[in-house]
Amino acid sequence: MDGMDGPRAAARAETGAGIGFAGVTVAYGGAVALADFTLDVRRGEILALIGPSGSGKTTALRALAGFALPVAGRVTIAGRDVTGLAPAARGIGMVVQSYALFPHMRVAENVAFGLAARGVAKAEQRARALACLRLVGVEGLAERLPRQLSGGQQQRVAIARALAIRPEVLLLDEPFSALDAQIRRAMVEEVGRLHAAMPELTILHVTHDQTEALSLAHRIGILRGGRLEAAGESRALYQTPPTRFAAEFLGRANLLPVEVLGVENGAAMVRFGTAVLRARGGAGRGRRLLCVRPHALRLHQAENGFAARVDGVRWQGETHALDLVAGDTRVHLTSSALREPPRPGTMVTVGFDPADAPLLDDA
Amino acid sequence: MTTLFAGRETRPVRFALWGAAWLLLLVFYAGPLLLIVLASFAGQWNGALPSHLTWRHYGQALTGDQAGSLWASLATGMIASTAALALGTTAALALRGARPAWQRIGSLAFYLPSAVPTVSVGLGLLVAYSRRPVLLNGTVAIVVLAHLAIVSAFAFGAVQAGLARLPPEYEDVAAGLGARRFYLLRRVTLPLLAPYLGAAFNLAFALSMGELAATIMVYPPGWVTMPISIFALTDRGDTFEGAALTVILAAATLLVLGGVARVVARAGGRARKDRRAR
Ligand SMILES: Nc1ncnc2c1ncn2[C@@H]1O[C@H](COP(=O)(O)OP(=O)(O)O)[C@@H](O)[C@H]1O
Ligand SMILES: [Mg+2]
Repeated sequence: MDGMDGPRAAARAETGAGIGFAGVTVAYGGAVALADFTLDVRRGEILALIGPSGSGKTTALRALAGFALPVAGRVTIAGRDVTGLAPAARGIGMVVQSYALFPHMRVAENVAFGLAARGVAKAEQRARALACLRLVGVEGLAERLPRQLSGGQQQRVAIARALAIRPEVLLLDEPFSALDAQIRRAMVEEVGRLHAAMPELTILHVTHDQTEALSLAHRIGILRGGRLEAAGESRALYQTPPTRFAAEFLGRANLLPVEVLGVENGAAMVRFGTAVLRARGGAGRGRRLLCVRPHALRLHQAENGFAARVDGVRWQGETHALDLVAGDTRVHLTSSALREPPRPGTMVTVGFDPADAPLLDDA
Repeated sequence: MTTLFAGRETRPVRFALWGAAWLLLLVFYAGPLLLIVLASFAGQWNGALPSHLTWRHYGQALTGDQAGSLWASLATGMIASTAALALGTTAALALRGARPAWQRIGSLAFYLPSAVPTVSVGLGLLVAYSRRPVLLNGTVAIVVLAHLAIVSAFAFGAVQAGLARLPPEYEDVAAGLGARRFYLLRRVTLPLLAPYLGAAFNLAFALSMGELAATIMVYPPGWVTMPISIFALTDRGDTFEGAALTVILAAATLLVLGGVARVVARAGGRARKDRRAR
């Protein structure tokens, strides 16, 4: 993740508006699926929309694509209000979870579909379809039927079909969820490459896989029950989640109940059980939650640390996962594989860098 | 059904089920059919099996008073089921996305003729079209109309079922790519529906080929369909000739159904040929 941040940021063409949701509310027969949703995606940006199943992610995409009519609010593409526009007039490329390749058309025809619908000349249709297939690395499959392709190949064809109309906006609705882990990783990289080749393209990527979101998106929006719970730069959102829900949904988090005692040298002093610890910034007093990621905890570090009993130890190949209990709080720690892992039942100290431990409201 | 055949039964139970199914099929379906085929070749039938086997009945069935029957039935069936398919498809497409109240009214209009006895459909048409301004009494049109009224419910139902089963993503994606209404219909919706359209046509055609009760009320002298001929032959004692005509009716129907299946495979899937080529 780390090394990619630089080139990705540079590749981003921040030259204006990409997608805008302004107070968008969508209801299905009375049931509100998306409530007062406001979010802007800059041109050339990759934004991941994550959230539990049923939180309104697909509904947001459908509102943007024109398949769900908002009862309130406006949707804009490149600064243009498209709220009342037919889907066909919006110029959006869309990839759905089931791929929905037309089973009665060959791959090349599938990819050329949008061009044919727009009346592009036959020869140009074919040339552009093949170019798009080449872009996603499957030009050899042009004459196949969809049923003759593997899941990953279908996925690539679906992306090629969406890109063939040269859309300003690409919508991906959980596109990789049906693929196995290895192909999924390859596809995530592929989309990253595609975007580097097309830095103007705005991508709205719906997923429930937070790793996918973190590794691909510049920014992330978290939906919860039809409302936007949090949104921000991927790294900032991960490092400083604004809410408990955001902390637990985007990666794993230990949320330790603490009492804020005050501020000292720019660090918050908090009491966790009997230990007094330093945490990142934050004014105010009273009961808060200290958020520290499992991999930010250091085993056997007394500095800014607390005592915990080892409850379970799991070796996971490259890493060790430790289940700890401090007071009556369960704490998870991951570290690179240990030569001599502690035995269950023994006491250990674990510490952390205050910069890795923001404070949250207990809500 | 699903629990019975879920595959969890023991082997003897499964064999018993299969056996029962085959027996039913044999007694109620294959048995009578076999007897009809035998009868159609019978010169005489005095003992357990027919004797003096002959093709004569076929010759008579195709040349006698009933010579025009095959044509009348095929033409009526083709026209009525094509019209039923067109009507049913248009209505099913139009009603999709309409308000629930409209959907109910529309469906009712289609299903009503299939809910009343077919003989009353015939009678109704006769009463309605035997007077001015629409005089259809004694024309071929009234036969076709009667068949259309009876079979269009089934065509409509089959298309509606197909539409309900169509995953919405296909049309959404197509619309998103810029396909307008009729383009989308022609290039995506209808091809995806092809198997259901084929089934709708086949159902309508098979029903039309066998229709007797309504036809008998309205048919003009020059347009005697096969079921009416079979009925007439049997009624006057020419059972073997009636049997021959029945076999011809069944064969003609199966031939058309088979042809439709081929057309559907070519339009919708193109699958078989390609799977071999792979
Ligand atoms: N076509 C629909 N009709 C009725 N309710 C729907 C429809 N589509 C989605 N919903 C409801 O809207 C909510 C949001 O759904 P969706 O946007 O699909 O969630 P997600 O994509 O995040 O899983 C859910 O409660 C879902 O049940
Ligand atoms: Mg969804």
